[in-house]
Amino acid sequence: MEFPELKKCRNMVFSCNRESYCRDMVRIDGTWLICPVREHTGGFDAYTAKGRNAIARALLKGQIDIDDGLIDIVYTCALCGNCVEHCEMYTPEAMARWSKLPLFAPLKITYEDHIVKTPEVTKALRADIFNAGYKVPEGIARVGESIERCGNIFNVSSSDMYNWKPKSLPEKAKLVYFPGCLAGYSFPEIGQSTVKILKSAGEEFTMFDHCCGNPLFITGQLKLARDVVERDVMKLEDVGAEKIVTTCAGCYRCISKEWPKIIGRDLDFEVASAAQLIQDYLKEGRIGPLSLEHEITVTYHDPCELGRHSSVYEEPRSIIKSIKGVKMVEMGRNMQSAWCCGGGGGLKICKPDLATEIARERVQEAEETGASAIVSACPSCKLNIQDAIGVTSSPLKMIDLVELIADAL
Amino acid sequence: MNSLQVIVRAKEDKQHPLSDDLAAIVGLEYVSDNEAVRWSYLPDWCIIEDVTPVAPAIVVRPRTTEEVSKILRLANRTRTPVYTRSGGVQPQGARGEEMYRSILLDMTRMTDLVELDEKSLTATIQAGATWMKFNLEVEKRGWQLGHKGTYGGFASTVGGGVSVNNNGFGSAVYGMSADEVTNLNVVLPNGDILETGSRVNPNARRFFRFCVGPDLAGIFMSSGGTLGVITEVTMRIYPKKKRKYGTVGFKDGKKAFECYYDWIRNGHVDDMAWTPRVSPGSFPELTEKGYEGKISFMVQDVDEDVLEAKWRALVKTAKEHGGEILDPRYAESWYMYRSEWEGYIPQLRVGLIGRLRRNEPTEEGIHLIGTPCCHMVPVGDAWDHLQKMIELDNKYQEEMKKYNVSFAPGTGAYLGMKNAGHSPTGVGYDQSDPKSVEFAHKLIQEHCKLAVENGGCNYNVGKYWWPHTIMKSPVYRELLIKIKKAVDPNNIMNPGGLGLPSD
Repeated sequence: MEFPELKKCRNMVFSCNRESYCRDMVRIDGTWLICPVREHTGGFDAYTAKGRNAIARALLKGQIDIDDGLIDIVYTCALCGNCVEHCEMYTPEAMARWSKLPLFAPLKITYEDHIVKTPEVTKALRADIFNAGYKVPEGIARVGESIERCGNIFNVSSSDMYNWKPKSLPEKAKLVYFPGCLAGYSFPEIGQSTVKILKSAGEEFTMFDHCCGNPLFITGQLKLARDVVERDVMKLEDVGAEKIVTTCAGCYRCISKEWPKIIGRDLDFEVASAAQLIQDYLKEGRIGPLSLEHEITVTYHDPCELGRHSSVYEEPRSIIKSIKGVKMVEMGRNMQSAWCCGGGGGLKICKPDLATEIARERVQEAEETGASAIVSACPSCKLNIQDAIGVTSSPLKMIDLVELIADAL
Repeated sequence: MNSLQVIVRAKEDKQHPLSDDLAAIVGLEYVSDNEAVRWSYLPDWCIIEDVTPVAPAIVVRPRTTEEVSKILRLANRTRTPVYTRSGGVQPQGARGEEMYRSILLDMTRMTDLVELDEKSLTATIQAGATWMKFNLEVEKRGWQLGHKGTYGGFASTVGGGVSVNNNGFGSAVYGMSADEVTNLNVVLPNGDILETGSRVNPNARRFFRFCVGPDLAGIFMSSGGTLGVITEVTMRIYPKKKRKYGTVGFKDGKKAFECYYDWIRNGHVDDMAWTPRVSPGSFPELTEKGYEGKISFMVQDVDEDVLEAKWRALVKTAKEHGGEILDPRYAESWYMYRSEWEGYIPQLRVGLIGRLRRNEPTEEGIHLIGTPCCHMVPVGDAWDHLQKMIELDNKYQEEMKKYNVSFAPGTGAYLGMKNAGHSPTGVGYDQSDPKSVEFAHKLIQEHCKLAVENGGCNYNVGKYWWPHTIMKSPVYRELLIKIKKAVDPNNIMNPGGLGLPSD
């Protein structure tokens, strides 16, 4: 079998130095486990970045074949990137510090030069497996069919999806709110809160009600993903978009990182996460000061796609800390070292029980901070952590950042 | 943490005959005979895995000594080879010839601190714990280890380290990991559980190794998994000490090694590393100032006055040999980069060094680094030995460039180990290119041969050394074979390991 997508990752696959820090290595937070999937399964090396790269090398060398077990392993990954963050300890912070040292400065070392991005390898392998017609986990193809047919992952019409959408939005606007599928259907409160914030800031905006293609990229359905992106870009350009704001970490990463690759050029519009936009509003005095009637202690869960994959760490924290009546406490594992909730990377689709099990650990960690609510900035995290709260009967509330802000306006 | 039953098994017609029996011992989710899982265990941190890639027949992840015991009973009864895999970072190729039909024991579920005994000044940990975990567990209780674990990386495990005889942080004073071990728990090939040293007396604490009779712990350490499975390791602990770092620059390399010798001889230095100007651990501005290299060092003691006195003694000796005291931050950066002492600081590691050290990059710039032939020499021979190794390095410069191989016997860190000097080697190669692999393999073989001919000695057990050591010493080898036959009559433990017969 040919592996056209995996071959594009050949550099990374063969650059893995096989030293096992992606399995357990003491991290800056004093803990030593790296992979949530490994720790909540049988824990075989196959689930670590080192093992995944070993499997990829064996496939490229023709030493092993694809079978159901291999496919299961490939799709059992949250693509959280914690392995990348700790790969031979090439953390961006360490790189930044070390690149200034006299020895390394002349070499102009960058984080990008040395990192083995195993989630990219996994995504490439998923694409090759999917394209070759192998049987993939149930749900993967269904999501694709739904996006193809209805433009969203829920197989429902746009009017059913976005029934909370304000009636009076213009057809064209410079600012476009891109709620994505989950905020569109499962969590209207996220969409409604965002609309409230945008209106409060005096924005003239419109909305875009179509999937960004992220579920397709992460599950290997690249052909359809390309179609979706091309269509979305064309429509957004028709709308006259100059700036897009997303409340979904997955949409944010996909639009800002995947879309330009697909269309082969920079986007004509700027992409911002809600956190970044809200911080701008606060700085410009367009909203705020923010305050809550009843005091609350919250902890912030970094969504992988916003944090590790997009380096948006400070904005949500800064916003939360600016709200009068809100006390912010950190979980031990935060920012680059945040423990994934298990809700991303297609894991919730392929292995929903495993995803919830991983989130239970995160809920427990949040409880240990004494917070009464977990705040995040991604509906996928909200979905998965909320499921874990339900399973554990935890007293914690799960709220999205925009909900917190809307309440504090 | 709870584990979900995510089960990865081979198709029915390809299932391993022992898979159900093993699942009955450790649980279904901790056994896999799936091809991808088996191949994910292929790569240790050794070029051998690129030269002769062989996956195990089935992988098992035990949690307790008792489970290991049951697995070995089963293996012994069915004459199935067993290969013990710990951190998966073995750099010198300890596996024997029967991997393809072996049960691979993945020890990394066995990570508990069993006991920290302040009366006996020891700590006991399950063998699958990483060195870093062991250090953390001990240090958060107000103590520290003497020998703190491998230089090669703290992802390696305590059991793996003592099984292949690692040196590491603190070796200048505390020696190899084995030197600090007081007791072991070992599962024998027939499933019996052996407690060594003072634990022969069930009323005794784990505190003493050389008692009762011959040193049985010593037989299992450095045995490369050929005689049994080490499941618990007890090591000495010490009160947490104050530390001070220093760097001495030398414009004459030979004089640096005289200082190196005196420091080792006097026993004042806890850890030290010579890095010549060509080393990635060096600094351009030092080279510009004419330094041939520098020794970074660390000294520690519980008592501030003693610490200062040791420090002064080291500095005095260094100056007598023409050393110049440099900014201590050079040493701090060294110890940060070696991931040591302060423990939790993210740093660049040896993998990066490999990439920095590469020759002209290939089109794709792929490079992997390993340390397959690091070895020991008597500390007083270190300088002369190094010159021989560099001669070999120089001989192959053209070919190294051609095949994108970097081989740097003179450019690594010359570490101190009690009365020995650690002769370093980093070998970088392109693991995607068979020609690069083949040439690196050849160079490593030549290096090991020359090292032994020149009076060096391997410490980490690996197959590059066997032809020049065990295979050339008939009396030693015969005795080993007899011990192996006595302990493991069915030869199930890593058959072929240590260069012993595989059948």
